[in-house]
Amino acid sequence: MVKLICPLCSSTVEIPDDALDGELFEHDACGAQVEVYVEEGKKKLRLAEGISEDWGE
Amino acid sequence: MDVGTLLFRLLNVYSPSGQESRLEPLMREFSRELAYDEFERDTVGNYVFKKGSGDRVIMLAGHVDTIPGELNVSRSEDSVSGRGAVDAKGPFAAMLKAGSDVEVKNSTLVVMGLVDEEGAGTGALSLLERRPRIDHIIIGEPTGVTGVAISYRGSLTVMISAKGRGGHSSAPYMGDSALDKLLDALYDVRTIFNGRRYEEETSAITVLKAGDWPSKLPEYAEAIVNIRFPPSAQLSNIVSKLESITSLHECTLSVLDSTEPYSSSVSSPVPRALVRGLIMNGQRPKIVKKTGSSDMNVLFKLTRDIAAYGPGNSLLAHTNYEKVSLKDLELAVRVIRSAVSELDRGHLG
Repeated sequence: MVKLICPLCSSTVEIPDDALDGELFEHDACGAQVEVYVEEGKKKLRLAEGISEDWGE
Repeated sequence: MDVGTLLFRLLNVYSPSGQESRLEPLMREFSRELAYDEFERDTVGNYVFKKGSGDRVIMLAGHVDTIPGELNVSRSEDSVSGRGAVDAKGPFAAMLKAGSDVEVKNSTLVVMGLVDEEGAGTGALSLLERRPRIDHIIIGEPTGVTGVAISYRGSLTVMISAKGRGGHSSAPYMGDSALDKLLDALYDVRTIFNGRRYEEETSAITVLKAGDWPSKLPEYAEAIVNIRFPPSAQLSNIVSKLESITSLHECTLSVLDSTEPYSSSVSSPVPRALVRGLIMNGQRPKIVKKTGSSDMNVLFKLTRDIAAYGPGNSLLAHTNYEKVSLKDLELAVRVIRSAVSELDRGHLG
């Protein structure tokens, strides 16, 4: 697991080693939806786009 | 067989809820042509395709019934149209094709064509009664091909009825109108369940019956109301509120149908596998939550590792314009195939 900083609450989030660039996770502690991105070869987190609503049965 | 042909053949057999048996000869052909190891119809008529024999059980659960209303079936260079193309033979076709293409080493893969999803949900409910061990479920519903649905709202359908002595419309203040009582109750229902967003409780009056003569106060009135509610709300609390309202206005409440909401975490294996499958196929995934309900609202009781995915624009579901693009169908096959491979490897948890 890689330890990264949550962009919402600034506490530590553990992300699997094999997480892909663009992969989405939920930070259990604060409920933030975060997206993994890679900058200068390092994995980082940013807030993911909001969850969209979709109708349909 | 390409997925467009598979869907075209499925659409050519009209199968509204209750008439899913019409698909049986075609499903038997598919099981042979797509080289599944096993094929059967279970006790309630669900179609079951299996491959592999590993301990881990991965289920791709689509539904093969549609709403009533036969449509012309056609295929162009870039799309396939017909009743169920979006909801949900398109997603089921993508699952059946992906299941045929993928190699599973550690798992048993089960592709289900559930019956009666558009009706009472008999197919999913029978699965729940039998409680088979299932580790991961992908539900086949239209999510716009790049969406992964992790949340469905709950649904409660009630009938509210009222009785009165009636009277002459020339002196309503001396009479006793059932409709007046019902309208007062409905006003309160609409005021309390007045949400306009996913996270809020919403209400819709879908049936209203009262009166049989222009100058006579109605002696009986009834309405059917559908309440939708998010995972944070409690079904029992909603029923209690409705009981209070109906009691206050001398009405009677009957619960006709209820479905629990469900929300899973984007970090759990199935949503992760689908998100990774989209990324591996060059797409930017989006997480969606559905305002409606589906077999996911039932099957989450078998495993909480569950999400819905499929090609098709859900705005076209239940319309006379059901159409799905071949490009989206083919992408969905690749994404589901990648997701099943990821789940089969077992590295996502």
